Amino acid sequence: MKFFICIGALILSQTAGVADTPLKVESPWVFAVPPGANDTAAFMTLVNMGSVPLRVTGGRTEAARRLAPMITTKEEGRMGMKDVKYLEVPAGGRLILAPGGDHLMLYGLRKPLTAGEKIPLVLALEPGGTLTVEAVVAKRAPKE
Amino acid sequence: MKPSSWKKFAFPIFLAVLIVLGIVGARLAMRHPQAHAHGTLEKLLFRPVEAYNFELTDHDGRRVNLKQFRGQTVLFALGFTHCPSICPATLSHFAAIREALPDDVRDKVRFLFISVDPERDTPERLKEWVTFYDPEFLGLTGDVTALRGVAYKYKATYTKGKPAADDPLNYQVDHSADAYLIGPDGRWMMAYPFEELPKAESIARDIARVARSAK
Repeated sequence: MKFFICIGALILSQTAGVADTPLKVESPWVFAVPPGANDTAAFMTLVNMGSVPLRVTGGRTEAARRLAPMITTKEEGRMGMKDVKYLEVPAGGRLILAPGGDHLMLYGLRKPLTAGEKIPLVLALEPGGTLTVEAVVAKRAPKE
Repeated sequence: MKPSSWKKFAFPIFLAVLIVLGIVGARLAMRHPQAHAHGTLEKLLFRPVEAYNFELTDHDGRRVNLKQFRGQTVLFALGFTHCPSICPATLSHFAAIREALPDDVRDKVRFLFISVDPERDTPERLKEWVTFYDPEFLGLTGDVTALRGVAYKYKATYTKGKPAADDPLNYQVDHSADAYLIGPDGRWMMAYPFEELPKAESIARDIARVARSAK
């Protein structure tokens, strides 16, 4: 049943406008950080039901000044972060954004976040379109 | 070489192999006895060593040294409060680990967070940040020499990244994200890689065993 819904959605998504996309998002959440913190990170599972790779190039959110894709690096035992131009989800595949890996950084929080609050994130996609997700603020990764 | 002459070397080679196996076996056996009880630990020390006694300032402005925690078990990590995902993850794992500890052990374990960003992490800022994850956690800071000493002695490193062009106070610090376990006898027992920290139940079991071994 799910399979037919997916196929149906896929077909519909090809005929619909720029707003629709074969990208699905599961369990989006944002790290709750202490009141003095300026930045935080958003995590989620991106599922690409389409036949071409999709890239998340950034986007925007009311909650922060900037939403940017980042990867986690590990060099000589040190962990760090690096800006990247996009995060790519393979065709028919998925990309998991999680602490210690790829994520979307929220730079410059406009106000402190409260655990349980829902933050809308508008993801900018390549080759086109946007996708709005509601990420829940949490102190720990939500259990699957 | 004549076919039969290699037999001259057979016995010495056999003996050498035995000796090598013996040495390897003895070294394996000498690993910490608790080593074999846990399957998740990756970076076990060959033998627990006396933990380097660092002297730092805690988030209430008090001078603190590691020896003061003798009798307690300590788990600590390096980081900085402007870290948007690694350090929040580390401390949230610490909170989960603390929760998973048995009741009789929980108050005998101290979780410390040592900031490697003394420029921005004042005791006040540290306190607000660290206690957000658990009011019992303790943040520590110090001067550059003290911090470099801690990093070196625990085989960790950290480097300050390039500041943003428009703001010298906007930078990241790349740092080792392992967590270090010190036993109640003051010995450095193990280092958990960042990737192992989500295993809260398993790490809590390790800590409980270590904490209960105090005389």
